[in-house]
Amino acid sequence: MKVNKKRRKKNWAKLFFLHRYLGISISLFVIILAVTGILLNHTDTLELHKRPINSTWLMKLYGIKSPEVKKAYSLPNDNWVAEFANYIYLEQKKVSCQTPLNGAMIKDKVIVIASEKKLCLITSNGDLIDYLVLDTAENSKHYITRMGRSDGEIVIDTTMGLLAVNADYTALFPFKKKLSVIEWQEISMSLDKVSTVLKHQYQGSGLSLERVLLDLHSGRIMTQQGVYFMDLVAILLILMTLSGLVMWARPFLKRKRRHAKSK
Amino acid sequence: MTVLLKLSTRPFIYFSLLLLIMGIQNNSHAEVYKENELFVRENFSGDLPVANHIWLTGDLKNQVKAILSHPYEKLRIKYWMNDNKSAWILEEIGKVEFITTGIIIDSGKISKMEVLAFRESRGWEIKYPFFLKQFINTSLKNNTQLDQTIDGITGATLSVRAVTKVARLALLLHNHAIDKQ
Repeated sequence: MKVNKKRRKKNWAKLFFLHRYLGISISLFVIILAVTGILLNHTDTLELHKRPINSTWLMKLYGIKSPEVKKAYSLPNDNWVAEFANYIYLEQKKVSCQTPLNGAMIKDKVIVIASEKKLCLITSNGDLIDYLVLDTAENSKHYITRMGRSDGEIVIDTTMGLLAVNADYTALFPFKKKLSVIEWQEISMSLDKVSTVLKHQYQGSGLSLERVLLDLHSGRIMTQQGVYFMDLVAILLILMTLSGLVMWARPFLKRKRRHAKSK
Repeated sequence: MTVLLKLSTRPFIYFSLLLLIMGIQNNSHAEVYKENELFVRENFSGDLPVANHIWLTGDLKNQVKAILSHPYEKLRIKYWMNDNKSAWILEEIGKVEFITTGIIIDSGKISKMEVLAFRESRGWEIKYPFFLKQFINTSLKNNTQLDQTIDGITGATLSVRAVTKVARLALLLHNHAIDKQ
């Protein structure tokens, strides 16, 4: 009897010890689980998917590298056109023109952007007007190398020769004047200035707060090991709950034993 | 009987796999069937008529948006016209990629329609005459809808929808171009 009582006391002490130290070891992660869970429950109300993450170290953790500005050309009134992250930008607006960027000029309020195979005509708002294709033959090997101006006319240097854009931007025609009268466009925009603007915008576009919270909640933020770890935390939380339930039931169990003894 | 079943199962599985592979290969289309200029030339007795441009502004822009359920990708559309006959090369997204369609309109009705380029992975059945011939002799009623019903193709709903929109668009633009003349 005494031995049984001693053993029972020892077991309860062990259970209490287990419960206590389980609790302390998983407390931080349970708080993370609970807080992220509450926030994720209100994703739509809080618009978590619309909140971008601008943190450099978090972007690094996700392996999101900020691309570089490859080329940029300045336009009048401090405007510019740049090639960044495989897109063409007119200021901070992505436009429907293909990379690579081989030139950008403005004439009569129409911005003419040269890529490799076509000229892209856009408005000052960045709306696409039309394309002027260099060579309509399928799998054509011809391409545009650079863009310039001669007496106000926009001229492109191509593997098909020099071509100019007609007055109403509907066709390309052979440019017959001498090469020496053409002012070829150089990369004229400070890449640093453009980089700062576009990188800041880009960093907000790849990663949302919702994504980060989901990954924190599941442990995926630390890759697959993090997922297994959170699984372990969940299992330990279950064990803690069970041990807590048993400890809670202790007085009832004691009373039941006493009652059985008295009989 | 059991032996027969067992013997026939394996060849059946292999045959089904083969059909599936062929189906997948056939479905992974990203093809240009005909060049735009060639399509126009073929339908104007070998000569390319003078190209014109129509600007999508004002009411016309709204009508185009109503047909497509979104603005057309460009502000200007090129077309070729000779008397009452016009040729249009228009593009519309099926599911994720553009489908390029050539349409010939004669006296206010579609006289020819061809899929010139198809870039989606499924829905390529729309390129066949059995589907496209439905558009022949259709015209526009109330400036937005076709006057004939077009039967769809199972598994190609989005492609069918895109091409039907393009047919309506071409008829609208043709009527606008005629009014402009």
